[in-house]
Amino acid sequence: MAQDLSALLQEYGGLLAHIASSYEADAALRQDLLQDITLALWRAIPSCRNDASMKMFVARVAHNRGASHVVNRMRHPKTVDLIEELPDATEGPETHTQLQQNLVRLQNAVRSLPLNLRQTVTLAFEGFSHQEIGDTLGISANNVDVRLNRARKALKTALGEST
Amino acid sequence: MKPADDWNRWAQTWQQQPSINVDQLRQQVRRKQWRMRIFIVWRVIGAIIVVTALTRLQMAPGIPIPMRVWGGIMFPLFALIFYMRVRQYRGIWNAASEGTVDLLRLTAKRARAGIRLAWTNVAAIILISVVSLSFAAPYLMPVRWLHDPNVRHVLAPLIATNGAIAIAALVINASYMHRQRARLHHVEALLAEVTDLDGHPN
Repeated sequence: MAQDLSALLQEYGGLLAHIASSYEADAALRQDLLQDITLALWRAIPSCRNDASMKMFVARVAHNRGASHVVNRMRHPKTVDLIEELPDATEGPETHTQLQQNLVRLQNAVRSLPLNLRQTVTLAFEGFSHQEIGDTLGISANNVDVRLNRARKALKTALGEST
Repeated sequence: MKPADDWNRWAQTWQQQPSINVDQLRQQVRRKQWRMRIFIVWRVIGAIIVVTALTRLQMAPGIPIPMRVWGGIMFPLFALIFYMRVRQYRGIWNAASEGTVDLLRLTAKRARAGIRLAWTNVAAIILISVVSLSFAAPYLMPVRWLHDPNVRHVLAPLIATNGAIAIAALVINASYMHRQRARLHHVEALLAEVTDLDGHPN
């Protein structure tokens, strides 16, 4: 496998895992989706040589594979009750459990969003600027603002927070 | 609470998700690549076998004209099926170049084309059955096969085999159409989510 891909996986592994989790609740299927994303990246690497936009390129490929995954998996649960693994519990078991619950609720809330809002939200969570989100998804920065506004309201409702 | 606070809080929680195990993923992807290579080799071998058989059918002496005609028809049909299968993978191959809306539109287009193709298959099966039965009509009269064991021995397996193949093909096509309609419905719902009334991303 190309060295490029290994470096890409090392650098953007977190981004890929987070994007995959926004599309698939089931751990085994999510791993399968990650493999598909990696294969898509491997095929797409030759078409991208601009290092400055590599993060956006990786996110775009991952989201496109994620969208294909949604199309191919029409009947499956969007939510899970527990997450399989979290980073080590350094702040005590109670905090760890609380963190786990918050994360599961947030993941489920994100997965319940329409596709366009979900894609925008996951990129915002990864620290993409509005312009970068727009460039990645092929929409204007204004459109990104509108989507994020809608997404915030939808997330607050899904999480049971007051708006 | 300010919107920025919400986004920061959620982003912080979101970032707590585990990353990937790069070595494990690389191993899994390598295995998948091998499976895909074997699958492609298998497909190519299959294509070579079919093309060889069809070519022999055209070249070999003593082959009846209807069989040669059938072989001639099968050549473009086989090429079309092969082309459609290659197209099925386009979504994966083009993962970098197209946006989600384009991918969804392409998927919907393919599903519609699949439904049309399945209808064509159904029509072809019915047409071939009708034509074959009209050619065989004289032999199908009870007066012919009741008193002629030779005709009976030839007709029985022919009708049983071809009838079973035709029914199986009809069932497969109907099931395929059903799945493609469900897929189309699902894709159209997703497209409605991601585009406005003018079809632009919203």
